[in-house]
Amino acid sequence: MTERLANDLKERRTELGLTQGELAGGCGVSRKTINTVENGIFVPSTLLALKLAAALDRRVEELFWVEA
Amino acid sequence: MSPTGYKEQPNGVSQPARFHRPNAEEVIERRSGFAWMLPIGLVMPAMKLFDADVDPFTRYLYFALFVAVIITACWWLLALPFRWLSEADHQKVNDEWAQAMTGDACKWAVAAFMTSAVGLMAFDIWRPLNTGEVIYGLVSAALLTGVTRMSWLSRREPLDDD
Repeated sequence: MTERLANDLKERRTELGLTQGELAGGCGVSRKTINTVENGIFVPSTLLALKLAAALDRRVEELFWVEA
Repeated sequence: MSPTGYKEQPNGVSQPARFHRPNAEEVIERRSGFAWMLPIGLVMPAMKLFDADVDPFTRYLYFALFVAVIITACWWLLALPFRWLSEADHQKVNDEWAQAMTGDACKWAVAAFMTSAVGLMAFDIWRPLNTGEVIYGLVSAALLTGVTRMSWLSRREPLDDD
């Protein structure tokens, strides 16, 4: 069974009216990184997940979850 | 920010030269495009380096070109700094996605190094190779594979903000 890390990043980001670039700037990463995380291509580190959660004012487990 | 160099003007007065200093996002974009230049830089010296008819000067010239390509590749892989970028921009250029890409590309490069070593050994049975050819073959195979893999991973994805 393949598991993947699903996320609610895009929905929450657009809800706050942020662009990928603005969110990237707030977390100290590139826009490409945000794009790959949103599209499920790249699994972020715990540090980045915490930064994203803080920037989007959500708990980490509300933003990311494991999907079977 | 202070200027990066000085250029003599027609009136004889030295004034700060204006160079374009790409920001972090531009560096990231150009890095993937630049990757395709490396194979060109590798193939060119390859044609002359081991040509017996080439004079020593040309040989040194192509050797220097080959060394330049290797240094550039190392500089890129090891993420050495651009002097005009801030610490935050450097962090952005070498963020965890960039590191993950580099790591994956290196894995492919090592695999290419090993398989090309087997290929060169087999080729050596058919036609004996000299040391230079073997070194060149191994380095080129590893570098080309690593660069190609990195370019593939950093290809332009549709951005939602566009």
